Amino acid sequence: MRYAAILQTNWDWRAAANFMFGGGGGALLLAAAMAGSEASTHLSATLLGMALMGTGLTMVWLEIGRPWRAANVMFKPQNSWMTREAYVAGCAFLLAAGSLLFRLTWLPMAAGLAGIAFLYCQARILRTAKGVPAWREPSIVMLIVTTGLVEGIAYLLLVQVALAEPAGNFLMLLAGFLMLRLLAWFIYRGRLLASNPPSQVKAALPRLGSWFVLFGHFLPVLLIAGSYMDSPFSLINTSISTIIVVLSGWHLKFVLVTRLAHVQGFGLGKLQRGHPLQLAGHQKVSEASVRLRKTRERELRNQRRNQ
Amino acid sequence: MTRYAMVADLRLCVGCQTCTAACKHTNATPPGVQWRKVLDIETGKFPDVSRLFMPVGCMHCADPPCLEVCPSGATDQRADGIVTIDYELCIGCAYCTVACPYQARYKVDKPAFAYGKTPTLQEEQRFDEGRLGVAQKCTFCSDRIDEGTAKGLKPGVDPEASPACANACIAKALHFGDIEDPQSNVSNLLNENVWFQMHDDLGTNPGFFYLWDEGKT
Repeated sequence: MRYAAILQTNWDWRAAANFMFGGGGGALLLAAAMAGSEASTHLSATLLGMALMGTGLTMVWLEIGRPWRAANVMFKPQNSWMTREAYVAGCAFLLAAGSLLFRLTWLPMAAGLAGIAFLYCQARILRTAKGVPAWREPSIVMLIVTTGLVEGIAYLLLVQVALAEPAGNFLMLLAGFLMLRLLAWFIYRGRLLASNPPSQVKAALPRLGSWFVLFGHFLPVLLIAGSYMDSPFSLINTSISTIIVVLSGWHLKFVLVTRLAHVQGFGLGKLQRGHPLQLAGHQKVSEASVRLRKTRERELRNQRRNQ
Repeated sequence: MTRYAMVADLRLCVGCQTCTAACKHTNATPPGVQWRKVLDIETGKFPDVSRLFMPVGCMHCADPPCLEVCPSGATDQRADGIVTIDYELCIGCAYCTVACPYQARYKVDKPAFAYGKTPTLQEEQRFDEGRLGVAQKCTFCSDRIDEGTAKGLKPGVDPEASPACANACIAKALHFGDIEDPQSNVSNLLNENVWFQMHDDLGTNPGFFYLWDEGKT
């Protein structure tokens, strides 16, 4: 039984925008590092990656209730993926800016790795939101990461098309990662449905899935295959396929954050007998919480000593 | 060690919402915010159905998901298990709100009053700007507990040291106390009855226990 599994509204389109823009932007930094042979491509792709990440973070900043305290987000790197995301974003910006200013060969790759770490943090942010069954499903991490990687490669291809530079192997790489994203989607969908999510999520998932699979995967793969044929439409095929890939990724993340975000709801639990502290499972959890409290008490003692 | 917990006897709760009103009065929460609320649930299948009243709110979990995700350190846990929010530190990102499986947290961005834009005298006096744009939730009336224990009173036994909702319950369905004290009222209730914790499969170990009858779930 499940009651009041309503749609959460605390994270709206602004939070979704961080996942839509930021993840792909982070992956683009890595793609830019990998395509580093052309200076103009690297410059444009890195700037675009930074702009996308910056746009996403700005959107989140606009959503928080106390924007002038935003720096407090840095206080808990030991437990919060949101704090880690903030630190990694700072590193990615510094390294990306450094890679544009200084000709050090390792800087673009370091920026790219920070971009991927940013993407991973975003995936873990959703994973640790235990109140929303569609987010806490563990396979969401793979789905978000592959979606970001696909978008990063697609952005790079768009930059290359805009600069009239050859796409190299990135078109093939995009097709490969599209297949990975498709696999991640099927795993996520299967596991989420098996975990008995709220009925609204169960109903919405097939609708999203058919759109996402057909429009977001099969169509771009067909277009990519077409672009390998020697025809005057190759460039158009590449452009359209990358735009479709990006739009389908945005759509997925928008729907995940704003439409499939039904909360756990309320329900009755498994009946038990006896004092909770004497039950085996509770003992275990109780020990964990005792450890937590001991840590806290030690921290407090240290703070008092320092004062 | 002390771990404060609430025990709700679902066989006794009549859904009068007196606990909700007492909480609102004590904590001056705005319209739409209910740190303690009572769900009115229909169980069973037609025609064999019955009503169930279930008080809910912050469960003060032993392993709270809200604490794990909080990026600012505003959410904390006291040594007695009560999960707290520092309104001065909170940035209002609502990560804790989406991490809580019990819909216990609220975020109010603009002042809201019961009768439109003009606050009543009570609302004017009790309005706390510090709660705007940040997460808020049940505190187990920790200020009452602290003041009461400082006077040598016992939470769960002496009303002055107990949460307002438990004090107000007309059906004796809500009980508060220390589950780590084997002689406490809540320990006795848990020893003598069948109980459950909501969503215990999530590993949060809530500090809110429901007494219920076997064969009814």
